[in-house]
Amino acid sequence: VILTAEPVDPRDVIDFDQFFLEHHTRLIACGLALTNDQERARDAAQEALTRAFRDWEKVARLDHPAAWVRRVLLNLLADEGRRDGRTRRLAPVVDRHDDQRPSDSPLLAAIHGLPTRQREAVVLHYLDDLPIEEVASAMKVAVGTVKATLHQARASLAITLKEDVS
Amino acid sequence: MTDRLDDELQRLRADLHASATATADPAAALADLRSGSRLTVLGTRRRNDRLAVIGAALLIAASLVAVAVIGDSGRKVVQPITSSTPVTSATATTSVSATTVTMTSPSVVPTPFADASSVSFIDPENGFGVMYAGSNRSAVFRTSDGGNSWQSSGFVDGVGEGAHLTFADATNGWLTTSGGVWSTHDAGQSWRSITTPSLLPLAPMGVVADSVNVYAVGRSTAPDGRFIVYSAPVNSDDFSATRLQFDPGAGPVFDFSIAASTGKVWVVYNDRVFTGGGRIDGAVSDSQWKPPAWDQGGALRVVTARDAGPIYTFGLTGVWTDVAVANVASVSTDGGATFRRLPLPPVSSTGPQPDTVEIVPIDAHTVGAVVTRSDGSATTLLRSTNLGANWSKVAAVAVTDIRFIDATTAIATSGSPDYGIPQAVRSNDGGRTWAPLGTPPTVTGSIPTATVAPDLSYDLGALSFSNLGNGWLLTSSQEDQRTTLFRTTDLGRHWVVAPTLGVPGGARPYGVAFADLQNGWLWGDGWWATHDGGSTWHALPANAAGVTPNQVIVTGGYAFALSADATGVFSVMRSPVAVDDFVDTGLAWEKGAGGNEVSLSIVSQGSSVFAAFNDRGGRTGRILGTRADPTWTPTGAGRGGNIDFATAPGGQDLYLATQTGIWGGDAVSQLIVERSPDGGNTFIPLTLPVELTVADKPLRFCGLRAPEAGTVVVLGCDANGTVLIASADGGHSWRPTITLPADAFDVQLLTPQFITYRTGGQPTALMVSSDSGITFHRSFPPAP
Repeated sequence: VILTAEPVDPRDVIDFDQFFLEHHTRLIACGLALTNDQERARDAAQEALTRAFRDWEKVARLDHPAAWVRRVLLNLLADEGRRDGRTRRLAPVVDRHDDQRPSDSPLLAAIHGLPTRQREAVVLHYLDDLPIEEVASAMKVAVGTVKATLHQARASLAITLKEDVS
Repeated sequence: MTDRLDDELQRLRADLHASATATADPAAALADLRSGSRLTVLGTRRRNDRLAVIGAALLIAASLVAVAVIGDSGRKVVQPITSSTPVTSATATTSVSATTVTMTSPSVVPTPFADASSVSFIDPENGFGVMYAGSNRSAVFRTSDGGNSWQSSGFVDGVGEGAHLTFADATNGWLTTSGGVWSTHDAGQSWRSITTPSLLPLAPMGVVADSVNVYAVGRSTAPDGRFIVYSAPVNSDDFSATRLQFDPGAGPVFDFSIAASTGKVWVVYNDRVFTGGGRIDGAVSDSQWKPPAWDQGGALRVVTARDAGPIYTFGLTGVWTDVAVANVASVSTDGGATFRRLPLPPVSSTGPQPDTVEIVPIDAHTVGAVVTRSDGSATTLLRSTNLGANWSKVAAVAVTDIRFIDATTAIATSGSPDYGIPQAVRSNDGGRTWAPLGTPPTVTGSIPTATVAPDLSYDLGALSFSNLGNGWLLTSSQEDQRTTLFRTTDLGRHWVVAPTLGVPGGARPYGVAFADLQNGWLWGDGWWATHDGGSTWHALPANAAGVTPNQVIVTGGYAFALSADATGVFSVMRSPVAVDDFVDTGLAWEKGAGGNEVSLSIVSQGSSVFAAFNDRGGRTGRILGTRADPTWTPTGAGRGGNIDFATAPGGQDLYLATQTGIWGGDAVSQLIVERSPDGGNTFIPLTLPVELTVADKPLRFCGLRAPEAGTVVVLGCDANGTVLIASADGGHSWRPTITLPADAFDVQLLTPQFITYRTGGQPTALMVSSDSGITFHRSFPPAP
């Protein structure tokens, strides 16, 4: 059986490497902010970038490749959460060591207490420095929705901080 | 407080990046990605079980064959997985080009409307909806029966995802996205971009319209960057700047709230706290107008029922100051000239922050209040007919963005606040109960390239051929994991989007199996059956533990489903394929020590059923007539490897294949194929051809098929590819048939002639041969 040889991969001539190096650590930090778990953050970041690599010809042409890869990251972590719900019924999930929870920041705990959409918006905009338009692209909502969401989230966080101080 | 929060955020950002940097090695990770990309394409390279869980977006359905390469802390272990083992395939991806997908009828994928902003109703019966169709275009639909059924109004190019739709009346409407504004003045038949550099919608709702005017907020291109409220008569696109203009605050979030009613408009600009307000009443503009409680350290909103009733302002005060945090609301019954306090329903304030109250105007005489627990865990809708003097509970609701069309009809957004995909829902009883709007139809005709978005990436998921030629393929969008079912009727040469009416829009099935042209099943985060060829689907119930099946396999006129209970016991139930009558078979096994991936191999032979539950080593059972024996163990079983059974339709022989020495049992790894001529009572080992050893090591077992009587095919894997060896005499003599590429997986044989496999090359594709593997054609996506 003779199968057609694959053509030269055009992704190799586009600067994926620069994109990877620019976003790898940021994506891990983003995953950390969402999970507070080094291992999960690293794995999800690597998987998201792997998918970007695989579709780099397309991703590189998007208006916001950074938003695209973050969308994948969010989906991966969301899917993981969903799967966890199922697998917990199948087998116990191994407890994680404390050193895999790198931050005991009250603010991070407060962020984790936010509804998902607010949490994602805060992480992407304030902790990952993504412009609001790219946050909107990553979250697949309108710019105005991101702003309103950030507003609500900041209000909640401000109250929590205020309570923390008192 | 503002400064403190920003300081804390900056500190946390620095901490997170420091933590990430301390453990990240981008260069090594990049090298790992490039060197391991092919392994990853196979979809099975996982560093730990947890990531395997992450990647398990899709599981391959029954009767598939795969090769797994499992990595663990850099130590690679090559491991076969039996044919029915679920295999992660989240990375088997391709970009689908609409221009290369031949569709019998160009279409958009019919899914529910995304959220309340994607539909706009003029009255309870008449409304419009917008749906992203891929390729940076959206499809517009209209309804005249309250959203039960929809008719296409065509496509609007340039309107990307997340569009908001607003109609002032039956003729004039606007679409807004983060990229621009479009208007229609002919009931959605044609749309025109009215975007200008200074007119980009900044308000959460995009543009706001009443029966007279439409309003949008733009930002001056001058250095001062002022925000300007523009307005236009609803029947024109002649936007002009009003006198409501605001100097931008410090940011970072600029948020406008606009209420419009019969030619009057109120505007609140928030930048953390109330930053500016204004109103226009006819020819009079007041750019200094401020809502009550504007100076109490919170953001405020202004709302009104469209063209009817009082004006309301509300918000959470004290957020950014040292005064107490509290909900506050005001109402004006004189067109906004004067306001007075609106009594609110009692809320809990036991947590670090109180429950929040959102005012929802219902009609001229009634106002609603949505009380949401501070942690988002519960939401209650209340209503008052006397401006807040008394509130009565309507219902606990699981929706957001409630908008009343009249006193009893409302639209809202439903969906899990966490991982569900939201969709627009409707209430006809004042908000007590909610139901999804009807799914719009497949759009045919005007735009031939809108069938499959060329800019969407799909994970190729489960594949099921019910007979030669008729197949179903489940794909999953990488961006939002939305699944799409494709259908072929011609050996996989062409695929069309299959309807999934009845499967909720937020559902994410990952497996598909069809018994024949009529009866099929989808499963994932639920499970559904069709008995009309996929035209309609209906949900099947979860078991007593609330679990839906991991796997559905069709054999011998029955659909078999494998499900876990709350204690980790997996059991098999079955139903005749034409009905939904799943009953327990008596086959059950406790979860073993394996990973989270379990699978079932099951075949029927006459009235007998033979099954293997694979969980890092197979355990077997059988059903003879109506008597189940979950402890039945044939000679080849119990030696450590996963087990595959095969029988040919109408054949007398039962085949078993396994590989010993994998997870215990035999010390030497050995491929074993056995044949039972007497219904599983005795098994005879078959001698496999020694010439097919590779580097003095035998082929690893990948799968077993008996596509027709007398024919048995073993799929062996080596480092160079997947080798099919076949015997036409019941296993007495063997010959190699074809060698598939090294990245081939999911091999299926429906007949000795009809072979499908997926390739992990670029792009990932489904390959089909109808001549015993002499030639293959790329089935999905079609070659460009």
